[in-house]
Amino acid sequence: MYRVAVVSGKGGTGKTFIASSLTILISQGSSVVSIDADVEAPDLEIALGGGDVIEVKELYEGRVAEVSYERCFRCLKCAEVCRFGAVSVLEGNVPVIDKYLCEGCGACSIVCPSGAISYVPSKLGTMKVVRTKFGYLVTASLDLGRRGSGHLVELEKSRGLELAKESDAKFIVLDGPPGIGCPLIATVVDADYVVIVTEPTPQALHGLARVAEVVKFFGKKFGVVINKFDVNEEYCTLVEKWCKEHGGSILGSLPYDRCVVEAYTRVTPPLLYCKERKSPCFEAMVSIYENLLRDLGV
Amino acid sequence: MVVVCVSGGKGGTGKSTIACCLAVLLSRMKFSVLLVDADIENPVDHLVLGISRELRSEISSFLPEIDSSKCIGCLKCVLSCPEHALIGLKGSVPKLMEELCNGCGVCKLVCPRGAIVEKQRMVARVWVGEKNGINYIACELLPGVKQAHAVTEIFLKSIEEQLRSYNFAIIDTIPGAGSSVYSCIKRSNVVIAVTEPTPLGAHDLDLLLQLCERIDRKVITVLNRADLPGSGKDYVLATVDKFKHIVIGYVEIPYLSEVVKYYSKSDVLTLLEKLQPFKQPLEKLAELLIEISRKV
Amino acid sequence: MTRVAVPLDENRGLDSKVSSRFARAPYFAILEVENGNVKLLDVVSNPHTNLPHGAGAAALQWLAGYGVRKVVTTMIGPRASEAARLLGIEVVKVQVSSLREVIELLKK
Repeated sequence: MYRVAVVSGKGGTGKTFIASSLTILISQGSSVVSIDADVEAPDLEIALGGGDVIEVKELYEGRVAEVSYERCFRCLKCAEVCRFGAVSVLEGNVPVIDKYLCEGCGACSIVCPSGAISYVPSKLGTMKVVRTKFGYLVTASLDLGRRGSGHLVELEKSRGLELAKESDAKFIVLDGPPGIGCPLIATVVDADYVVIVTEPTPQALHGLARVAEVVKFFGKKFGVVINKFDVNEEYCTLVEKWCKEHGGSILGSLPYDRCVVEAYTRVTPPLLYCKERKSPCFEAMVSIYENLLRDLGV
Repeated sequence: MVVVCVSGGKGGTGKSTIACCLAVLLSRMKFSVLLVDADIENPVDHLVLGISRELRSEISSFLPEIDSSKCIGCLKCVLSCPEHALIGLKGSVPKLMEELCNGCGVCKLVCPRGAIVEKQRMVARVWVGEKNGINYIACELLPGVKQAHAVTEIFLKSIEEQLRSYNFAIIDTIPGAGSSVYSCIKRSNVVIAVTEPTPLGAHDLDLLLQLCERIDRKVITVLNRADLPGSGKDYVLATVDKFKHIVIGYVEIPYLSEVVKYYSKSDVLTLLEKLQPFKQPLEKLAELLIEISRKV
Repeated sequence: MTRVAVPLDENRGLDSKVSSRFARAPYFAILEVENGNVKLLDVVSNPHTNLPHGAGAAALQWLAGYGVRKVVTTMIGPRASEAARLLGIEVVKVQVSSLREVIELLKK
């Protein structure tokens, strides 16, 4: 089984389009499981045209601290010791714990002299399994304002792996989060291949370079897709040069085409819409898929 | 003084471009402006505006180091570590698995012998710059750092006074609706939510607006590339309507193919000079902010 | 005398299937090996199966608490093997399917 992660340093470069298209192309030949690891803005379900939700699970992982004000001496040791900025102090030396910032580490309760701090379980998010036309999809959304998106991705991956074994899938495709933080690391850490999506802009190249550093840090093989290459063809040479210098292969380029956005507004999988409209994006995507198989040695 | 947070849920909707353009427009109107790039995972505002930035400081987090001359191998630190980053056998000095440590410091608190020494680990850099009267500050996470948790919060806390000493402080956030976005929103007077006319844009906007609603923040929604064909706009309008009690303004920016070209060349200033249909809605947005500043 | 742990998918005595996962295996067999004799001391359920991260380190730490100095497994993740190294626990990788086979191997 091959695990392919689709990521980008910068947001909005077209990860979800590529991940959904790869899933669709793979599903024509073998069984595939897709995972939406962009848990703060999960859109893969929409891009795959939805399906039957066969499992919904609310996840309570971890805990957050709570202060009992009858017991609290207002000594503020808790605020002093919290390294996450989660305890703020209101007028009259009243400590308030911000549940969005609390890590539940327990430091405040250790130093509290009056035993005023207790813990309540905290909701991490909701995980769903959807049966799409293109195989199982595991998707999750982080509870608003929460941290711990990396944990949520780990849980999605375990569920995805079970489903992959069950359905004898040859591929797992992960649609990654933007950025280089916790959830991105969780997405790439056990991937066999990482597809980095970029655009010919300085902003996106900056993102590419940063995400590639993480990918290389974990010793992963990676290939680059240049989306909207025709927006600035001059800059594409810079991106290609960068790839050569940093050991990434170029999987292919996609032209800028309004078909993709139009497909989303019609809630149709964009690859299928591109095919129907004879968009050059379709052929380009097929060639990217073939190059990916070549790089994987399939 | 007004603190404005430019966010939007989905990535690539135009947050950075809009945050930078607002900074330019407001500073041209002789307001003092601080542009804060809090997209710690991919800060690019300096590229958009062509600011040459310089390193101001570093952000570090706690990392334990065990003094083996004091450690008695009681394993209290091992058993209390919430991340299972410390491991060890009874009677011997525990070992740290650095990549698991989140820097909470519980080990230091529970050690009966004071054997845990505070070591610092660099997790992010803070950059500053200035151009055409716009003051710029940005925080950039180091690649490979898993402990991004508190970085946005620590960064914004460290510049809280600065935020209040300008007519306008504009915070450009990371995508999503997680705790980093929360840290930005809770410090702002108003949120500008930038989205695009697709179900994806509407879906992610919905999440962001839910977060704004929970912490009682007013929102101006900006629909970028508003005239793209299809029914995507209806999804966004439905979301805006659902949250009409917190949405105090709505601005549309048309789709202009030239924008992508100038953007790809990092030439936002020319963009503002040349493209009136792009500039006008942004001026309207700036007017809305000035109005808010009179009330604050 | 050495205590040895083996990750299992099920708790059915000697016929139990050896797990293809390590840190998140549902059970561990604790064996005692002395002069070619192997005794099954216990099968314990793993409390760390749902840990979102750090399961490798947590599982090894927990097994160390049972006096385990060696693990026999079909696979082990990079974190768990790093934790084993730090704890001085020996890791033996083998291709087996049941606990019985592991015991046969240990007798030799």
